[in-house]
Amino acid sequence: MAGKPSLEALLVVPPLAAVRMPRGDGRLRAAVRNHLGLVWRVLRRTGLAPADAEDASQDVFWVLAQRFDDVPERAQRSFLVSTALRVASDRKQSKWHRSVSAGLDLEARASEAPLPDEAVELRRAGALLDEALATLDELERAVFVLAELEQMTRAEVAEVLSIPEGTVASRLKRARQSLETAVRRLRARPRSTR
Amino acid sequence: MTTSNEEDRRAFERLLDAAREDAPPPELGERVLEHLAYRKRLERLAVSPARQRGFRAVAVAGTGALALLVAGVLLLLFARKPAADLAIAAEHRDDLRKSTAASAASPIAPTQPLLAAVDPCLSAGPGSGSEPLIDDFEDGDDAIRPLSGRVGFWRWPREIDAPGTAPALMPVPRPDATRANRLAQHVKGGQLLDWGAAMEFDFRPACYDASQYVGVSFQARGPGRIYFAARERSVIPIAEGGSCQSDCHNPHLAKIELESGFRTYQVRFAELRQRGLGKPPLDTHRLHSLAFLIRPEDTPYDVWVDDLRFLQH
Repeated sequence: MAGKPSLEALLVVPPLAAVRMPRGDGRLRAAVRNHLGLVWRVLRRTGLAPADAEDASQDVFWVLAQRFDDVPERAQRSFLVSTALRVASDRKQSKWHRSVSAGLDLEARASEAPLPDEAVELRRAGALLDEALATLDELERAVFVLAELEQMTRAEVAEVLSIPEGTVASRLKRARQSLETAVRRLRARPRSTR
Repeated sequence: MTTSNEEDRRAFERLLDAAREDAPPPELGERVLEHLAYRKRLERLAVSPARQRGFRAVAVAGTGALALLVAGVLLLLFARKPAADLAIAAEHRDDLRKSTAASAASPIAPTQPLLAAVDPCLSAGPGSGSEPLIDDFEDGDDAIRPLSGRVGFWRWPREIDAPGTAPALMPVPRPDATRANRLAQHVKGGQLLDWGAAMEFDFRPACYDASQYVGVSFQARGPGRIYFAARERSVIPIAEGGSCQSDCHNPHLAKIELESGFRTYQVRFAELRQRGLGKPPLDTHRLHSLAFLIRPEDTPYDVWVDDLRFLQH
């Protein structure tokens, strides 16, 4: 009798994640742990708002989960980056993204209220950089994000984007110049108009 | 000029450093893993082997035929011996008495529609089993999704409401709203002392045959504790559209311990229990309503529920 579980204990339903992770998901869990930050930054810096980037992160790792056995561990990073770029591009072209992006911009601007908080300063810096990145074309932006922000080698960037290394170098140089100009212009702008 | 250029360059580098430090929300990793597990599970359910589907079809047909045979025998027994003392006999006895009286008054009156008027379960066919979504709330109204003939409206009864005045429950934006999942049901309130509060809907007509499903899944967020309840007609008082005459409002329950973020939970009908010893399992052929109950000891409360769906076999 003492060892019999109580009805209360029997009625407890564990969360799905606690019981439903299939076998082999330890490796998937490790991939998410190791690469989620990279995927997130690529999605955000290529123009997705935070809420959209969350959805897109799920899509990116879902693609990896479906191809998990085909993608060697050493190639996961490149695979995830190229998938993230494709997913972001698809999302930006969708009707939904175009229709709500104005509203999301307004949200971002509302968050620019002056608060003495380092996190808010970082977010504001990120928003300023995103605004500058939006002035680049898609390829320059991708090259800059991967080479400069994610500090991938030129060979890696060339492989992910399927372009020659020389093109990576030239696009990176041009992107950096354009960005510096854009950031200078944006910083010179009165705060109230941001 | 040079100083200004240097300053611009340093500012630019600071921007890049800030961008390199950008990190995803701390709980996103778990959410991604949960989402992957959920999609894998859905995929497994959707792509079952043809042989299994064939076997399942035969099994369903066989079960249906057997159920019809048993129902016929039971009706015959009731007609011959109205005082038969069976656990579910109460409402059938009433039905039969009324139908017998009606038949006697009008020999040509059809018996089945009269029976159905008294007990909607007699006219409720089993759900197709192919439309598991009950409500994901994305349509923004208080109606459940009108799939597979299901009709019902969400409400939020509390002990402080006068009987029959429970407010309709409309979805609101989730705190972590995303493109794919914007809205959810949310209830929040203070200390309650009597029976508590609920988020619930009734099936209309007041009987739904969910025997094609094995349970439900849903997302929920607390913190705190709720109870998922599946109510048969036999626990709802007659005055409220059920058939209960004693030990009413004693539904089949499962306790759910919530966390402060959305998690997905699965509840199998076979796991649900009624208060008291020796109670029968849930009769999924005779569902009156589904509810999320909040007991007084779990108040104040702040509960979110989303994406409620039946679990398929």
